[in-house]
Amino acid sequence: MKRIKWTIMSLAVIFSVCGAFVTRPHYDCTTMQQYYEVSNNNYAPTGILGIDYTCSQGSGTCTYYTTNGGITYTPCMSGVYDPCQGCIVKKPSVKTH
Amino acid sequence: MFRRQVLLESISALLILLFLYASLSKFLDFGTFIHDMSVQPLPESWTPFLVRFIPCTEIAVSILLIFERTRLLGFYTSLALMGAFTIYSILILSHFFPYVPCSCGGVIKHLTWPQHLVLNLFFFGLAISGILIQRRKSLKQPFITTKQSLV
Repeated sequence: MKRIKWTIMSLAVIFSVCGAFVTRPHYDCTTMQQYYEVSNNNYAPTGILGIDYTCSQGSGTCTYYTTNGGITYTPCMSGVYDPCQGCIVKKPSVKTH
Repeated sequence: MFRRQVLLESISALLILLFLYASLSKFLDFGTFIHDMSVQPLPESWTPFLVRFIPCTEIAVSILLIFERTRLLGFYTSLALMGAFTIYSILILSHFFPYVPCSCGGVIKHLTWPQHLVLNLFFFGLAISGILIQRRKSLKQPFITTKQSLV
């Protein structure tokens, strides 16, 4: 019984540790050029986070990034794009896809 | 007896899988977790405490669930944690708060709130089952008197 117990426990620990490492964000998209959605599928580059804009609390996508020269845009930071000046900013969350 | 023991080990393993995975995912992306916690509808002064307390408690519960001696305590702590998360999900779904982003770690954060509630209820049920089986098992174990144990 002890052998079965430790096999089950070891598998649970191994799967959770490996799962956590496998599903963690592979890179930080906030280090790439950020874009915001001006209108439907029209994107414009943002300025500097904390100076030109901030992502305030909300359910939408604040900024996007592109890896194919602007053909498609992937959500990066969550919240609402707020082009305020000189706002105090916390590091926004990163959506991983 | 054997089947019950295997069932008990499996319930513990599933809870360990959940808590250990969730806590490690939070630590591996700690910056995002801090941000997610700071936008929850809770007092902002709680954030520094909660970002440490939640993942550390999850790891502690996982350790409690591994060992036979501390397993019942682990099940009770799991029940308390899952109960709190379930109540929070119900409050979100009943629009008690405005929209709240999920602050769970790893792939769990991609679940919608109704899916989240189902997941929480499932693990809440597992914790209750674990308590019932563990308690029944403890009651069925032969009572060893002090005199017998000395022999």
